[in-house]
Amino acid sequence: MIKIAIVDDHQLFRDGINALLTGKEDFEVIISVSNGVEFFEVLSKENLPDVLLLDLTMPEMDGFEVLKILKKYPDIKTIAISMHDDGNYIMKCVRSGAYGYLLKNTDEDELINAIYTVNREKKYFNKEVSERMIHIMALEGSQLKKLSAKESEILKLISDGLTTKEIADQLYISTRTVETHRANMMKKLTVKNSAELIRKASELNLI
Amino acid sequence: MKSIKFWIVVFINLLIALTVSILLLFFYKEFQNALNERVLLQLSSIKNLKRVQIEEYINNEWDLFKNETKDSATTMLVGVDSICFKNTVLKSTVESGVYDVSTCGKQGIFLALVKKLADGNINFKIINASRIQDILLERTGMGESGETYLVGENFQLRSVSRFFPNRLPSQINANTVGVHEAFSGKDSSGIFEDYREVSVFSSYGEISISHLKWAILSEIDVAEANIPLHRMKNKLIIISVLVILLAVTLSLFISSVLSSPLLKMRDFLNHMSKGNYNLQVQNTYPAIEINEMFIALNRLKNSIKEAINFSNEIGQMNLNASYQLSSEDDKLGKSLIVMQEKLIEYESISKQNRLNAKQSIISGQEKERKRLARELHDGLGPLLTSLKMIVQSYELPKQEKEKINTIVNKTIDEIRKMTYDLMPPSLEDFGVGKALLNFVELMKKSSGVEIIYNYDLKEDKMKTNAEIDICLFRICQELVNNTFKHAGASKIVLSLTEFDDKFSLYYTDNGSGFNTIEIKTGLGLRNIKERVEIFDGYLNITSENTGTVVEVEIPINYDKDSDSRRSSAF
Repeated sequence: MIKIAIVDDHQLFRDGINALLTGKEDFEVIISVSNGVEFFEVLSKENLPDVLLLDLTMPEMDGFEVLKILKKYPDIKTIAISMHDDGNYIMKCVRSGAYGYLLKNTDEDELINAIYTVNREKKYFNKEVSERMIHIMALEGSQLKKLSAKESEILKLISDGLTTKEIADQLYISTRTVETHRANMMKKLTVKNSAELIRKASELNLI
Repeated sequence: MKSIKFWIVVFINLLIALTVSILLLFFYKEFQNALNERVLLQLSSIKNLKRVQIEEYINNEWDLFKNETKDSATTMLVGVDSICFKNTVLKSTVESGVYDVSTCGKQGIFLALVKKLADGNINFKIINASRIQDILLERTGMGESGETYLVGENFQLRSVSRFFPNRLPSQINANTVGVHEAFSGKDSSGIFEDYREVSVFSSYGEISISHLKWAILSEIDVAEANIPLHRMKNKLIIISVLVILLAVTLSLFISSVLSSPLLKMRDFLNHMSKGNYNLQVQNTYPAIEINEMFIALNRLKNSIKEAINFSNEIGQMNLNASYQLSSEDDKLGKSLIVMQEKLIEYESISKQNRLNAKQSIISGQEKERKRLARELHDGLGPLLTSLKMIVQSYELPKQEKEKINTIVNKTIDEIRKMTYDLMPPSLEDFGVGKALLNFVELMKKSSGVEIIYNYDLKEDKMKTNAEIDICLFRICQELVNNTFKHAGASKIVLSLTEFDDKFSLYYTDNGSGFNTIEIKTGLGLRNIKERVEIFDGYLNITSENTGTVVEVEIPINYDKDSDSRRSSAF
């Protein structure tokens, strides 16, 4: 028997899922509440759900906050179930520790399949969702440093002796932007000119 | 009212004319006096000479006669009427001596020499004294009209008049001032009318020898004697005319030298009062004061001109024009500057109002879109998904279920699309950087165009300002749509960078470009322009047939001051 919790602000939707799942042998809906606050109120050690079907957009406490708190409950496997098909939502859920991501108009079979999959502590993302994740990841990829990724890139090109125009062309940014980046880096590293900038940056192992 | 020129000319010439005429009159008088004196002097010396000659002649004759002893010869009456002679001379009381008996002769001067002898007989001799006539006719130094003549006691001429040589002297009466004076014993000179009633200089005296009594007068016509005076007068007149002419010319010159700058000044002031300030003021006049006046005028003109230029500039709303006050008292300049300040204030207020109006339109529009998107997504969406869940939980034939599912799925997809078109939920939830990730992915998928998207945003500030997020997102949407619609590009680069003070958006495509002027009036680019303007941002679009580059910058500090100001303006 898989214990299931449903957190969604739409009563009708919860009822729908409830109706869908209670018809199956393996499932027992133990919690059905309308937001994160209520969820944590009723949550008890004795009665932890195995799988949580979590809506993202909710009043009081939304899905992302719930996921944050749920890091303290590693046994609860969460499937985000949302209207949003935007990859950003998917990525955020994945990064926040969700096991799966379903669109709200998912089919019965997929829902059942997903619950079984995550219950085995496996991730469940269908083809469409995976694709979106990959695209976003491919497009993303910025990391935070003392210098931003773009700044490091520009600094490296400056130290290679490229002109502003060449850097701009290579990085697909405007010369104005390159100049602004250069000025910002000099401000960050408290130096007065490009030569000092390169010296200081290499001292700090930034390039 | 007369001109300065007139007054100068009149006064100078009056003064000169007065001086000249006084001088000339004085000179003329002096000359006249000197001339008169000389003429009279000469006349009297001539008269004296002749008198002496006549007296000598008569005395000579008398002496000859006196010493003659021959009696018979002495009684001849030659050329003299004997009765007249006896009546006038040979009276019982006759004495020895010389008598004038010309009145008894026909023509000429006749003298009777009478000698009373001791026996009581009378011896006499008549002399035709033509010699006297000769003496008188000797006219050396007498000019054209000078003559010396004798007048008898009966005021008849004794000698032949030079002017009437064919008349008998006795027929000419000389009852003149000179003759009277002479007979009264005076030996003098003067100017009066002679027997012809012509004005003459005259020197007169008396010849009185025994019983003979004549007046001798040496005279010359005033007209002739005064010829040098007339000549002098003419010369003086010519000189004075020349002097006056010269004075007039000089005074005209001086007055025009003095009045021409004044006239020029008048013209300038006239022009200026008519509003024409494009005058070339020169200051090369010979007088310092006039030059200084023109320098001052020039200064005035320049400062007015500057004020005009300045007001023209601000009239054309060129509010950056600057104006230099010509002095502390430059009231016009000061009020113009105040006007400029007011206009700048007004301009900035009206600009603010325009921006506010635009902003309120756009933000109202965006709010409405957001509301609609929410309603669709959070209201209608869940209802449909709930419906789907409920339908799926019902025992229905599989085919029916499928049918319903398909329709519901399509409806939900449609709602997602509409929501996205109205306002992508991720824009609010993740900020513009990530919202664009999804947007780019969708665009790539739907168009097949290569889109390179870079973003460099600060994570913690992802949701700094929803309005800037919307603005940037809409601009990107607009640009990408534009490229798809017009440029036919195969590659798009979209780069979004967040700096401390601004967002920078850099967009290029390799399409065929577009006519910026044509497209600018179109809705798409105008929207971009307006959105950038609202945030007081920077927009630069360069389009060539090898591609288009768009740069946008949105300042971040907008939030701090201008937003509060703006909201208070509503």
